Amino acid sequence: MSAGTRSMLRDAVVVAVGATALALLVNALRPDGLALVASAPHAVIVPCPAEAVGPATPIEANDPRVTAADTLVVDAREATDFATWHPPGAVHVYYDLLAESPEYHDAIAELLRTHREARLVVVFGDDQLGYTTQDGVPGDEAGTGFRLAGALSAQGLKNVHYVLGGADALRAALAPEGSR
Amino acid sequence: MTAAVTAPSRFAAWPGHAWLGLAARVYLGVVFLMACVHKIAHPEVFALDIAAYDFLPTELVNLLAITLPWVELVAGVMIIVGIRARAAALLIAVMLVAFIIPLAVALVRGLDLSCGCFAPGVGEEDPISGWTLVRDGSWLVLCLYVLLLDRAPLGLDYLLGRRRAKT
Repeated sequence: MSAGTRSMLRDAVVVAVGATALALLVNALRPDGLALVASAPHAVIVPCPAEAVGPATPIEANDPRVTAADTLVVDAREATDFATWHPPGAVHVYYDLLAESPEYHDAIAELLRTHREARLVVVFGDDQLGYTTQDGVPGDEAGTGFRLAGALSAQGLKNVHYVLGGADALRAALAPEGSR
Repeated sequence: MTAAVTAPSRFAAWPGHAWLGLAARVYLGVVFLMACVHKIAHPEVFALDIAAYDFLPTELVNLLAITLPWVELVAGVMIIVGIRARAAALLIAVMLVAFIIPLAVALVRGLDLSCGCFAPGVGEEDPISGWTLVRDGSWLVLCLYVLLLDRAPLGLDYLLGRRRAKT
C-alpha cells in the first residue's frame, strides 16, 4: 500500500469519526434528538405507495380505469359473495362492518407485496347507488366498499377509489364485455 | 507517478481528468448534499425509512439515522471544494455500497418501500426500483473515477499547496 493510499484511508477514517462525533453532538443538543438506541420497533406500515393523501374517491363502475391492467380490484364483500362472482383478477379483503378491527393491516401488506405493479386501487363492496355522504359525495357511506376504501386510504395507500353502486353496478358494467 | 510510462499511466496522466474529475466531484457532492439536508432536519423520518428496509437490527437504526447524514454532509462539502477529495470519494463510495446492498435485498424480497434517499413529497413518490440501483451504481462509478484518476488539481488542497510552494 502506497503512502498516498495510506494517508487517504487515514483521512477518510478521521473525517468519518469527526462527522459522527458532530452528528452525536448535534443530536444531543437538539431538543427533538432521537434516542441513540431505539427502544421499541419502528412502526413500519408498508409505507409505499406512500403517505395517505386524503379520503378515498368515488369511481364510476364503467370507468375504463377499473379494468386497466395496472389497477388492483379489491372485493370487500363476504367470502361467499366473492366465491359466487368477482371480476377477473380481483382480490378479496373482507370488510366486517361490525368488527372494524385493524386486522386489515396484514391483508393490506400482503396486497402491496404481491401487487407492486398496481397504480390504482379500486374497491367495491355491497354499496348501493342513490345515497349521498355527509360531504355531498355520491355513494353509500355505509357500504363496505366505501368503508374499506377509506380504511385503506387512512392506512397509507394512495390512489384508492371505491366503485359507486358497489358489486351490482360493477357486475352490470363488466357483463356486456363478456370476455372479462 | 512512476517513471515507467505504461499505457494505463499515460491514460491516468491525461490532463482532461482534472476537468472531468471536477465535474464528477461537484455532481456527486451536490447529490449528497441534497440527500443529507432532509435527513439531518428529520432524522426520525430517515430512521423510519431505514427501519422499513428491515435490514438492520432495531438497536442500530437510530444510530445510523443520526450519524450517516452528517458523514454525507461533510464528505459532500469536501469532495466539492477539493479538500481531501479522494478520501471523501472513498467515504461516498463506501456509503453508496452500503445503500446498494439493502436496496438490492429489498428489491429481491419484493418490499415496496419509499426509498428514503431524498426528501419525501417533492412532487412525486419515490419508490425503489431497479432504476434506483442503476442510479446508485452510476454514482459509484463516478466515485471510483474520482478515487482512481482525479488528483483534484482543481481543488482547494492542491491550489493552497501550490501557493504555499511558491512563497
